[in-house]
Amino acid sequence: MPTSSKFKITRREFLRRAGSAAAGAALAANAPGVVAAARDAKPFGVPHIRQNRKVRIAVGGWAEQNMLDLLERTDFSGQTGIDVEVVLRTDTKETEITKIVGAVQAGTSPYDIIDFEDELTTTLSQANYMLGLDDILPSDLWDDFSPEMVAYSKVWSMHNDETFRVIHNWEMPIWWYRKDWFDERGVAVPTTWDEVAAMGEVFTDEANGVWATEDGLIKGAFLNVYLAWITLQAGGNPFDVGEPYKVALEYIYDLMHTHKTLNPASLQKDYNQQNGDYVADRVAFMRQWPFFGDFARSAENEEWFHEDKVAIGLPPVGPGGIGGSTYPAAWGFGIIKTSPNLEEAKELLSFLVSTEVAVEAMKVGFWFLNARKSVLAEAPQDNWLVQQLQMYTDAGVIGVRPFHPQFVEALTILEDNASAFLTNQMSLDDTLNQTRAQLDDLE
Amino acid sequence: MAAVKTYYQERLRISAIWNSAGIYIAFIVFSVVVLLPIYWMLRSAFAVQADLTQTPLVYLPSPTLHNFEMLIDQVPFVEYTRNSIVFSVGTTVTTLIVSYLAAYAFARLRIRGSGILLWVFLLTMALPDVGTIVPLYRILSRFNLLDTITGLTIVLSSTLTPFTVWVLVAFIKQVPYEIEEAAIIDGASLPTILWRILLPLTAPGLVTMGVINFINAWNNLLYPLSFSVTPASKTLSVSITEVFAGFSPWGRPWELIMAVGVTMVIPITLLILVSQRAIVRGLTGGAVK
Repeated sequence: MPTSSKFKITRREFLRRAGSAAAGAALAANAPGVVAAARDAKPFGVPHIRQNRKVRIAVGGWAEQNMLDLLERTDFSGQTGIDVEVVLRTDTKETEITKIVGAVQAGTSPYDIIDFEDELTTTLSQANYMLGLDDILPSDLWDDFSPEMVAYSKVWSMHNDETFRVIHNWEMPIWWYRKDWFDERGVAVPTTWDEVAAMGEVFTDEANGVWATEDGLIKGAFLNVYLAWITLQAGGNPFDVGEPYKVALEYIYDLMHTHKTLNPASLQKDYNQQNGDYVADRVAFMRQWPFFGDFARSAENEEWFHEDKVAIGLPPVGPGGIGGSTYPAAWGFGIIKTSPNLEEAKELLSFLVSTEVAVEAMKVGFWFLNARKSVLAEAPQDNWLVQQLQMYTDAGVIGVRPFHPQFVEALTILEDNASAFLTNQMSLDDTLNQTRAQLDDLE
Repeated sequence: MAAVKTYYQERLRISAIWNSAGIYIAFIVFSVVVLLPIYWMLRSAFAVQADLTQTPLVYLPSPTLHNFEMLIDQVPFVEYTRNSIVFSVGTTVTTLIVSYLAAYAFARLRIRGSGILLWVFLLTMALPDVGTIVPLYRILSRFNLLDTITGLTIVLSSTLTPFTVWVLVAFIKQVPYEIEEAAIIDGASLPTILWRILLPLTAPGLVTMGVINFINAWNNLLYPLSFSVTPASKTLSVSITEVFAGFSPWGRPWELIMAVGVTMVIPITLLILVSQRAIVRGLTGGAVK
């Protein structure tokens, strides 16, 4: 046996030395951190000297370039000396909560400002993770909001009368229809529930897979959108499980099974499939978010696209009256309470929500389009999305999105029971009783 | 007599045919179950979105690289890939070195309570990863290791080490101690014994655990999702949560998600193909004495 080493050590000694070496390696790996920590440490009695001021804002990937352009256009850093880092947040509430909860519990935050949706706002503000913004908002902010946006903000951006988010993206399901088909058949676009129901006879051709209307109603928050939309039109909130919800469920059931107006396969479809069916000439009209307008106009659908195929009308009026024909959902800015750059975050947020910057933001991209008076006044009037927002605002069809304090848990209950009813697995009474009981258990 | 023999031969032949048929049917069912998701992923990754939502289904859409172009456009693909490689290799190497030394100690040194300690090691695996996020966040924050590959590597290595130690202990125990004694008599030091004697004999176990740990690190989403903020430390798995459809949050970009899936599966497949023989030896080697 050749010996390669002249010195001899015991196994115990070897392990001891190996342990020390591993510890040394770990420390070496940490060296930059240790050095940075030492550099940042403040000796007692020495006044804190302000280092470079910075702030980090997280936006979805779809808004990253818009945000960078806005910051450059408005020269926030030049005016304030605060460097802004734009980072990507994840695309769902669940992944974002995973990211934020650990950080906040540890007394810090991955970013200072976050661009976030309704559901996340509810969860984070109720958990006391967000900073109350009332003290830093421009005094004229609420005057610039449309009455519908104010009403909406009170429900979805406030908790215990304190504002935790200022919305900048405000969009609602749109009533899209095939003007070419309606013109061809000589019928008018349906404006009431009864007229919608009657369209099954006009357009549905089951054998060829064509339906008067279709939606993305698969469970996982898609079905809930439609349930909320129809129940709002019926004059209520689905989470109350009251008479309007009962009327809404009966109506949806009849649209599917009695009038053959709404494709029952919608219950297995998401928005991509819904959009795909529309551009495959299988749908005469539908409720869909504005992103369908971009999809229809994309290069992918260049051959298919014509303005008459994606006409926009006012949503149908239900028993609840015109005021709740559709509802918006929103995204907005908020500050995480444990933000490491709190003062800078406050400065940036006040800047972003100011009237002047809100207008500039809309010019940078429609991710920042909303119904603020200043924004709508400056928005390009020849744009389809601006026209739609103006039309819906002027017609007064925008209601407040139905709310539940435990929104995600509640919508799962709603969807599970409603889908059982709509697929003939449960009676209407059982559905309502079970939904009510399960929602009661949540509280 | 001949008729009886023929009868039994026939019975045996039919029985053999049935056995073979059973094996083939099981193989086909298993292959379909395993390969169908892979086919679906490939089909979706190389198709345009319209092909994904068409009815009747398009089973073989015209292939396009458009989704991969979009992916590169939407996320810092090069940085994420580089981070994934550094993170996975770093975690694998760190875990193997630490685990090998620990496993040797557990296998060879008679320390009071070492058996219990080994069980405690194993018990740490029962702790759900998500339950460790808050304390780990505090530790990483304390040492300025948030949003760094070093931090991610340390955290995941600490998670993978217990199981690796457990497996390697069995492998090292399999090597007769007399071999080490013979080496000691010949004047070999401990590092020489570990490097030149034990390592070759336990190589299949090390390779197997190396591959398993690499796959674990490569596919890990929770830690990069929780501890990474900038492209400096985000990995490919995080990009699944960042791709988007159109310029809004409403749609689900399945074709892009599948493109990420394909990108992530390729290195793993190559790694397994290269180390297949060692993995099989490693998986069976520790099981028998």
